[in-house]
Amino acid sequence: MDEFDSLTDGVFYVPPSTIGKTVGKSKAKAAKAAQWDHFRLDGFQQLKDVNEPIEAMEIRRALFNREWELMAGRIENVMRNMNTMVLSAIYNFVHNAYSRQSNNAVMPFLELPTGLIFAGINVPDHDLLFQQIAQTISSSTPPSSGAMGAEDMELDSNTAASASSASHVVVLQSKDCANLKSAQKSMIEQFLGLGIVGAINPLEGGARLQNYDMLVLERWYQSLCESSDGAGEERKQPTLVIILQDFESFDYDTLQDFITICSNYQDRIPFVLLMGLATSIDALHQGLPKAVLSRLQTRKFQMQQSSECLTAIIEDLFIHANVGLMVGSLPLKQLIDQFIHYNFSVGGFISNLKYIVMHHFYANPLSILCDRSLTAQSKALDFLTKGHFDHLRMLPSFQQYVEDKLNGDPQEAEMLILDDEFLVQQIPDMVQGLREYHQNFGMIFDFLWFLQSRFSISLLKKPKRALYFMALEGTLINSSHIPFLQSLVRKLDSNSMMMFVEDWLQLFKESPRCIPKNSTTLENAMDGELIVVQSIRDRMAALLDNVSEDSVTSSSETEDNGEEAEDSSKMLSGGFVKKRKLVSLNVYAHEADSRQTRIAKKTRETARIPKGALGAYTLLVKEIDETISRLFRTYLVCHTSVPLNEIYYYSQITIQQKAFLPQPRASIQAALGQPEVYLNCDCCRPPSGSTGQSLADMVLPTQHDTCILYKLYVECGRMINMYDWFTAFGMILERGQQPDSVEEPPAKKRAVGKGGRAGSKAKTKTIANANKLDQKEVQARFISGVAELQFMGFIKSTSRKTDHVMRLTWGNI
Amino acid sequence: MATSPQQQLHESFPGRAKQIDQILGFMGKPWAPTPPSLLINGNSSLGKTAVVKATLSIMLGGGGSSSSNNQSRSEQQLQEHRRRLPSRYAFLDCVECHTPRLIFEHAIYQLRNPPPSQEKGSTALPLIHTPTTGTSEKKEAAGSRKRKRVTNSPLDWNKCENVNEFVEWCRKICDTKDELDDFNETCDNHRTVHGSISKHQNETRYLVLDRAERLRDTAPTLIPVLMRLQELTGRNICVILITTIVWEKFRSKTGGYEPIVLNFPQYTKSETVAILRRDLPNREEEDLDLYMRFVDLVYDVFQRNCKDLNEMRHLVALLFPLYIKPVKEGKVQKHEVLKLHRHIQAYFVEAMDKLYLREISSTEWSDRTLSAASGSLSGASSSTGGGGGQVSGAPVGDRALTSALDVQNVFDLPYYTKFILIASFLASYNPPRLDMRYFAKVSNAGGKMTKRSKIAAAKKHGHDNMGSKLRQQLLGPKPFPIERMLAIFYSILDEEVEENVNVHTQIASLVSLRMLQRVTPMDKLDSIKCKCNVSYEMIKTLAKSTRFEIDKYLYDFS
Repeated sequence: MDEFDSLTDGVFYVPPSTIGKTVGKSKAKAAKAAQWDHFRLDGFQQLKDVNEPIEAMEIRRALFNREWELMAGRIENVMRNMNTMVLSAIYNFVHNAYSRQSNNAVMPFLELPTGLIFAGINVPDHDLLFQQIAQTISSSTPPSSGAMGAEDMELDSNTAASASSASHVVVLQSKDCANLKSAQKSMIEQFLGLGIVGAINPLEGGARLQNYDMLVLERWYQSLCESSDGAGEERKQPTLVIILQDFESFDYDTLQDFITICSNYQDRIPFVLLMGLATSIDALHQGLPKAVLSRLQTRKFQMQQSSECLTAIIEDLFIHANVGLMVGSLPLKQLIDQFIHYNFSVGGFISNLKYIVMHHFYANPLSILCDRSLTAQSKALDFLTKGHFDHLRMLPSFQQYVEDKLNGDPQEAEMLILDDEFLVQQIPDMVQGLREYHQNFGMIFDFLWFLQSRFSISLLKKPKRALYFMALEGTLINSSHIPFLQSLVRKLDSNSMMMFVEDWLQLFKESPRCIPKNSTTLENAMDGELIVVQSIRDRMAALLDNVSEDSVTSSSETEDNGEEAEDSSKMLSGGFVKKRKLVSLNVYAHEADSRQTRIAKKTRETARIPKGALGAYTLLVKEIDETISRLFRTYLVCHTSVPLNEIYYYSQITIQQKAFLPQPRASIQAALGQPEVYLNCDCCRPPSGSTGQSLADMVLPTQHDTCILYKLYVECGRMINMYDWFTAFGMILERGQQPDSVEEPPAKKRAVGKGGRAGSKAKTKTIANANKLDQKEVQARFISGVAELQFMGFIKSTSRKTDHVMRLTWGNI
Repeated sequence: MATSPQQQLHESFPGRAKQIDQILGFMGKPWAPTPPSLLINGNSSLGKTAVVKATLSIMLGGGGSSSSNNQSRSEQQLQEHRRRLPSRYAFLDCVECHTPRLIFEHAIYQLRNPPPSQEKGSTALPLIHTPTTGTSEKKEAAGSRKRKRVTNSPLDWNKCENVNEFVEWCRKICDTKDELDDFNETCDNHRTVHGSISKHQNETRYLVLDRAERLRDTAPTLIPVLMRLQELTGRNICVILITTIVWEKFRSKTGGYEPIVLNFPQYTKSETVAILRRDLPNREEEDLDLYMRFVDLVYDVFQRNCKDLNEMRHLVALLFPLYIKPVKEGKVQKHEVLKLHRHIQAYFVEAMDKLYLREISSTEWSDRTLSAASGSLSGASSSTGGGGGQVSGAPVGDRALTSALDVQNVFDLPYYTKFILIASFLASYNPPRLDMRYFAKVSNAGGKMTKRSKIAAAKKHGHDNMGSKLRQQLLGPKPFPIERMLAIFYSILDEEVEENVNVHTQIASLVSLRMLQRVTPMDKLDSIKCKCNVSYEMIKTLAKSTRFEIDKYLYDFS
């Protein structure tokens, strides 16, 4: 164990070695091979409890890699999409910062173009963001975004003309900028280190300039311009962009001078500043004096709120996912709670999620089935062992499934339990069912969201995240939210109802679930629903058409029941016709021309609903209501009712908590107060006589020295007298020496409880006894224990009182 | 048409004629001995830097007067020489040169190389004004201090680490004779006016240190040396310090040389107006009357709050387009002063509020006022502007974004972080002895003080309702130990929270966001003390967002 014999390293990393493969080989060699294996397989091990073959492990590993790549890719995508707007705005700002000046020549003096980027309060997340910004700016094309308006396009062509002039970007962080010298140095070094063709490094040419001298940068910049002059005369000069990533952490005095210098050099070097602000603009105003502020020409950019990002990630990954692993309600709650309560950190969320994925694939043998593309031909099914089947049959959802079967098809249920072969055949179907469920869920969830966003009642609006969470918990269907929405639907007047149904149909049609319409083999539930909605729409359209037809005829020919439906006539106002035009345009395009004339006619008539139609309409509304209700009840059911959902839904929580919500103080206190929990030794069992006392309160001589000292410490006041402490410690040790220690503790305990201030008689007696124990040893043990407590931050030495130390922690957590 | 440099300077700096004459008087002939040191002081933006720079560059740097065509041939030749030969002056900014070594090396470099050429600057950047202390006018600014390019520079950088070397270098520089000195001598011979003494002396070198107040921090020992530089080197060298503070603040204990102090007084109204007049955007010559009226108005309105000329120019530049907009739109005639006045009044108020404090920047201001106020005009202007007109604007969405940001200046914090901040505010402003009463969960009075007991407590501690004794609110936040804050934090939270590492990381991140201020040094790890660094208003909004009744827990606070 020589390699662990270091004075400087506090912690050693010892990778676990696979045991049990050392047959026939020398131990060292085998261990080495195992270790090598360990790294090659990313730490994946064969799971012993199911006797997993190595191929199954390989499958798990491959699945894990694929899953995580997919997830990480999607997350990155979401993050980028969230900020495209702002990124392109920043890009335009930087690239037009100096071309703008010529148009806007009224300013009495030059101001330094400064972008203030409000990036949210979680500073560690900003690294990624500012890297993105730096990349965007230094690239020669603006970031593409789908949602660019016409004006934006115009701007693009503008910038494209001058795109040949790249901007050079450096990122300054406060840790590099402790003072002005280091700030300048860092900036200059980064610029020179960019490795741009044609630029001369003035520091290398033998000139003895200091590396924080702005002249260095100026010369570099001139050489840069000269080299680019040759390429094309009309080229714009490159701008130098300085990103101050964490504005709040900078030393403000340094920053003032730094900005002043930059703006002094602005006539020679076109600088653009970008500052990352975590709080609000007040930080800028607090940090910089007026003289400096007046040199800045600021523009604000608000990055997307991180909670929005989180919602988008959850939606993309889980609601509309075709990734394999999902997160169950408890872990998700914990993830979200940690985000909202503590740090707003998207980065933290991602690493937490990765941990979940890892845990699932590393430790769960059934995760080899966690594959969306699992079919009957999949290799994974061949590697299932007896252990796997046992695990499968122990799943609650599986048991539920079998029990349900029992009523309908007892034989199949029996086969499921007894026949492994049969089970293997069933698995792909179950997985397929789960997949179905999930896709349907995603779509109906969209519908729910569509429903909610249709009504502008802010009071009852729930964020997507919350709705999804409710669905996961299984409380969504029975919540009051859905009936409320339904009641709102029922209250719609006929125009809006028609619009609503049209939009609904549109939503269903557009959703990817309903694309394979022609193929009969891939018939799925959603197609059926589509047909239902379609028929509702058709009937509704027909009904309303009839109504207006009727009203046309009725008003012209004064037929029956014209006057009876006055109340309902209010529902059909003139607006209906107008809206119908829009509707008919896209749906009944082929009929449009013939219809238009009729509509034109209708506009002149008063629309009235005949009595029969009114009844039909009511029925239709009822049907709509029922359909909505049925949709939700069928498809938004909790995932726990679907068989085998445990394979796809990760639902553990403790390991997360341990890793991401550590409680260092609590665990240290537990270790010191109840060492038997950690040491798991027999000697510290509670004595038989003291059942009334809790174990934590007792001081046993068999316990570790530091624990004994800690327990004594807990009973002390603010100042601890070292000698008293030492005496009490000695007493307890000495008690361990006596054979009849079992009887003693209660009495001793009381003595100790009085903080060592017990009568002098007792003291002298204990000291006398301790002598037997070798005073020096006791003292040495005492000192080492106290040193450890001091190291852990429980006490500190004080000069306020001689021979005393100060107690630093209070309360037991 | 021929204008002497002096007249030229007078013209470009209205109201500074006396000071220019004084400086020129001190300078005398190029080779004449000068006072060892000169201190120019005055408030900011009174044209100190610009005047000195212009004077030196016109008199010594070969700048400026090339326009006057009927100069004598020898004069032109002289100018030509000046442009090629090592500069006679070095101009240093003490913010930029923040170590003695930088000062020395920059000074040597500038004195050994030709003065910054003018031709190159014209193409490089459009119309640059020196932003330092900005009364520099356009002509002067166009000749920006663009130095010769690296490849052409004949002399390279020289290392100079301490004062001794610097003095040595100064001697060397002053002793190098060049064509110009020869030229001067021959001139003298031609004129045969001067005695023989001056003949052998080279031209005076000037060392200008702008923002010299910074020297007191960066190199306090350097000031006496600079004051005596002429004496130390025994050469004709003059140090000019430009500063905003008085000489008394520079004086060190051991009596050094006293410089000649030259004060730049505040501009009078007529001078200010004369300077502002030069800012008129040159496209509307006929609007001069209107513009002058506007300048008068702005001066009267803002003069009481703002003495700074640059701020005034800033305001004029941004407000004038708004002022003349009704005229341009044809709604109001030029002579209808009252109407125009009423129109601009609202903007004045807003400008005083936001623009002057730089709560919104100049571009945001112009974007917003022009786009928002014009409405109907915006379509026309953007169409005429074509490609160029909209360059300033980000996409529409972005503009909406920024205006939304203006409204919502408060940012969001994680839930528990809000409570940590509230707890630290309470810990900072409440006396620790009352913690029991406010925060103990098992208190008989429910933990809240009634108003009566509050008054009683206040009386007991020696101050009455009127606050005869200073309240903590007025004294600012008090430092508190972290443990106390945490205790309050756990007490004010409704739900049970287990202590975990996140709470501590949040405290650390609040410190890094400067919302908490750590009082104990960073290397002291135990018993950390902090102060709460946020305002009552912000805490109030935070408390509101978490539905926490902060006022119930604050002692003697209003």
